[in-house]
Amino acid sequence: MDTQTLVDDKIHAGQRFITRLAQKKFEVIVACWVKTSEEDDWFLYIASGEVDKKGLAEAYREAYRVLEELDMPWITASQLKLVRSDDPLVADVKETQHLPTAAFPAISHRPQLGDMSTQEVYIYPDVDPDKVLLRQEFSVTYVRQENTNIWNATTREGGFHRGVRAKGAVSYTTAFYEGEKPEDQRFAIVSVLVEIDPRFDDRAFLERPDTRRMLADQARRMADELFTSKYPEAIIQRDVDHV
Amino acid sequence: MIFAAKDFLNNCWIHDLEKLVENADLKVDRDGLSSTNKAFQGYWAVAKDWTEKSRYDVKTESQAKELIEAITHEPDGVLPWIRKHW
Repeated sequence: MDTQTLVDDKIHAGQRFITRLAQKKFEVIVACWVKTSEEDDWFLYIASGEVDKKGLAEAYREAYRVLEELDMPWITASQLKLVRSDDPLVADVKETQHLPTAAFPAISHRPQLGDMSTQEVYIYPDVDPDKVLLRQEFSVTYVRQENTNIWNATTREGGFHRGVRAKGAVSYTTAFYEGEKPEDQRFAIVSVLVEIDPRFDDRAFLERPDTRRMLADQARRMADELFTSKYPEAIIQRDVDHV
Repeated sequence: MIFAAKDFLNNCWIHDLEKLVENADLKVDRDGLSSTNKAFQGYWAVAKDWTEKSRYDVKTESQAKELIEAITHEPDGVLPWIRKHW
C-alpha cells in the first residue's frame, strides 16, 4: 500500500467521521489530519467544545461510539486526538480555512500547527450540521396505457443534494388539456428525494449496484404511494428503469 | 539473540504508550478491555495523549485532575490495568 493511497483513504474516512459526529450533535470546531515530526505518523485532531463541557474522557467515549458505529479501519482509536476548543491549533486551522484561496481538504506543509512540529497537515472545511444532510433525487414517470387503468412507470436516477432537508415524494407534475378530467390524464411525474443514512454517506458505497437498486426501490415505493393516492385504482407496471 | 534483546530494550526506552503496549504484548488485552469497558476506554484515551513534550505545557487544574483520574481511577484507570500484568 503506497503512502498516497493511505492518505486519500484516511482523508475520506475522516470526512465521514466528522460528518457523522456533527450529525450526532457532537460539536466539531476544526478537524485535521496531522503528520507530526516527532512521531512520523498521521493523527486525526478534532477540536471540540464537548471536551470543554464533558471532559476529555467522556468526549472520547462519545467519539469512539461514533467511530465504532462507522466501522472504518482507516481511523484507529489511537490515531484520534481530541482537544479543547481553546487549543492553540484551532486558531492556526481557522486561519487556513479562511484563506480566500483555500480549497478543501486544504493541504499544508507548515512546520508548526499550534504547539506541534508538523510535516504535513490536511485541513477539513467547516462542518455545518445542516449542510451534511444528503439526499438522492429520483423521478418516476407514469404513462397510462390507452384508455385503461394500467400505468407504465419508469424510474430515473437524479443527482445527489447536500443540505436539503426535504425528503420523500416532494412533487407531483401532470399536464392535461383544458376540459379534461383527472380520469382523462395520461401522464404524471413524481419527484422523490431519498434520504441517505449518514452511515452510508460514502461515495464507494453509493456507487455499488446493490445500493443503487435499494435506493431506487425506496424511491419507487414513495412515488407509488403518492401516485396511488391520486389514482387508487391504478395498476402500475414497471418499464425498464434507468437505474 | 543478544542483539535482538538489545533492540527490544531500546524499543522499550520510549514514552509512546501505544508502542509500549505493543512491545509488552498487551495490545490484544488492552483492545479487548476497551471494547467491553467504556470507562477504561475513555481513561486510556486521555492517558495516551500525554507525551514527554506535553509535560512542559501549562495545563489547568481540571486538566491535571483529568489526567490523574485517568491513570489512577479504581478500578477502571490505566494504572490498575497495568498492575494486573506486572
